[in-house]
Amino acid sequence: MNAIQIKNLTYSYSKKKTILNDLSMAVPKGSIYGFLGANGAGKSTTIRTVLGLLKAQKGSIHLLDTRLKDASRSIFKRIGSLIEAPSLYAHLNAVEHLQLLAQYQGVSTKTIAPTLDRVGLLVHQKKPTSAYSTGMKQRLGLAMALLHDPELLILDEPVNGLDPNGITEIRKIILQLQEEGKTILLSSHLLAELERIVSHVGILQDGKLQFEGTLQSLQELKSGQQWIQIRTGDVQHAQTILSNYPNEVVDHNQVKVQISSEDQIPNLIKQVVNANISIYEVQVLKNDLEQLFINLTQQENE
Amino acid sequence: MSKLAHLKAEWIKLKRTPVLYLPLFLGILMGAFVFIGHYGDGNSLAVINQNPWRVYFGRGGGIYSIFLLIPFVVLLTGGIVFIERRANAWKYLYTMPLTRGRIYFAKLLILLGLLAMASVLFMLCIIVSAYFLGWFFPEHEFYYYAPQIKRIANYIVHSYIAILGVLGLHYLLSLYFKNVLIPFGIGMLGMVMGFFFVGLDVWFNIYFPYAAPMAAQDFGMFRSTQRAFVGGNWLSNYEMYSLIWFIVTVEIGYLYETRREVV
Repeated sequence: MNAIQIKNLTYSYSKKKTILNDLSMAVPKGSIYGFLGANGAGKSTTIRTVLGLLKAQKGSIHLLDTRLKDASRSIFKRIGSLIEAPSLYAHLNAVEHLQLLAQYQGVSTKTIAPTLDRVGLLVHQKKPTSAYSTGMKQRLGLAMALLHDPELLILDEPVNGLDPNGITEIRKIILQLQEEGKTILLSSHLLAELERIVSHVGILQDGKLQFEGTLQSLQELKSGQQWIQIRTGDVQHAQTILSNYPNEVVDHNQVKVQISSEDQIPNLIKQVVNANISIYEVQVLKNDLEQLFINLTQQENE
Repeated sequence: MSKLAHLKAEWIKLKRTPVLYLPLFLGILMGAFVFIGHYGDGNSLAVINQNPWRVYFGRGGGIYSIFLLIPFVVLLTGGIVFIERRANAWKYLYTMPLTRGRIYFAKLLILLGLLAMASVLFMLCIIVSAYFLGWFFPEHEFYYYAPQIKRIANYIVHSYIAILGVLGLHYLLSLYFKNVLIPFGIGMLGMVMGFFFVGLDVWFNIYFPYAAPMAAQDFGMFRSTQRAFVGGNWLSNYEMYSLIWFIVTVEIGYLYETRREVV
């Protein structure tokens, strides 16, 4: 069962530029779905279309098993959202923000204090938001998305502008929310950050999904594309010795070799040493989600 | 959700904003204007056997209709919409479980309420300032005659109807233009043009929304020959066209706001 199901979605701001191009994606219920893409890839447009702020020109969107086009506004009682920077009224404090939202959402104002406590803003509840730091604003934005205890949370760049502590705090809250059974769609361009918390991943480029699946399937894909870099005294000779591995020369004393598993590393080094080639350094190249993302999007460009 | 919940939410947003203090400011400003004007030159009020309230209200009403009502409504409509724009809140408001139409009409109701509040405060401040003047100048006999409450209440109702066209138009303009200065500039230009159209008594001034508040209740300042009464001698044609402007612009605003994309 999917909390969000998008089929063949197309959206363009003008005839010349298509932002979303036949996009299909599915966010399973109970998942933390990492929605990855470089700036301008179409993440925010997708989210705004899902929330009904932009009208889909083609395709269909189902939210919580209801077709968005046919859904009544009450569907938004089950959805919480934070789109980029939170919408805050500088002259109001945190309690007043949640009071007005309680009116819109039709929930008791008794939920305000626990929600503020959850995001760590209870002590700052009476401070005007104009005096809040970026992190506090982001946490209040999250509180606003959580006030009515939604089943589905759509968070667009929720850790944007946060320091490492702020990112850790938001991450903890998101993981807690998943434990409570909520579905979370999380978009970000901080790829390494998503890797730590998501269960599913969708990678978007130029309005098309390049990859969609579980984090595990992504990691399997990742393990088949690991690279090590060797600094040696004789690059040409080393390249000949290692010709049974995909490789490329990095510079006059370094060669990069692709391996499918870390178990191949000792054997590979042995081959080079047996050929009397000096090795000064062996480095396993960082190959996280970010590298994979770059690889995937580069492949598409090529 | 209670039917008035979204109205309450709109009211919470006004806390500590200039928009909320604007009606009070307008009332005090009016009271102070008329008081200072008569404090310096009160001879016109000291006429034996003439009710001073009539002249005092007439001058106050004239200044209010011609010089203050339009800028007030332009600032009020711009201010209400600017609160959302500054917070970049449309993207959030329109993901709430209520229709865009309800949000649109809640804001309109708040605007109409604030305009009514300003009208009542204007009346109160005029009365208070007259008594204050009477304290300095007992010969004006403000304490001898009773204030003409019915007359000023009637004036307020008619000036309220006459400004509705401008209110509807500026609500639409404020929603349409992202730059708050554009509707303000249009409003000031409209006011100046309205002043000339009514002053020159051109035939089409009855159709010009900015002319209506000046001409509908002008206390003999313009003596527009275009003014005629419709609907049992109660509503002037200026007020009728103001109502038409209001209905049409509110409808256009509704269609625009419920269809626009929030980028």
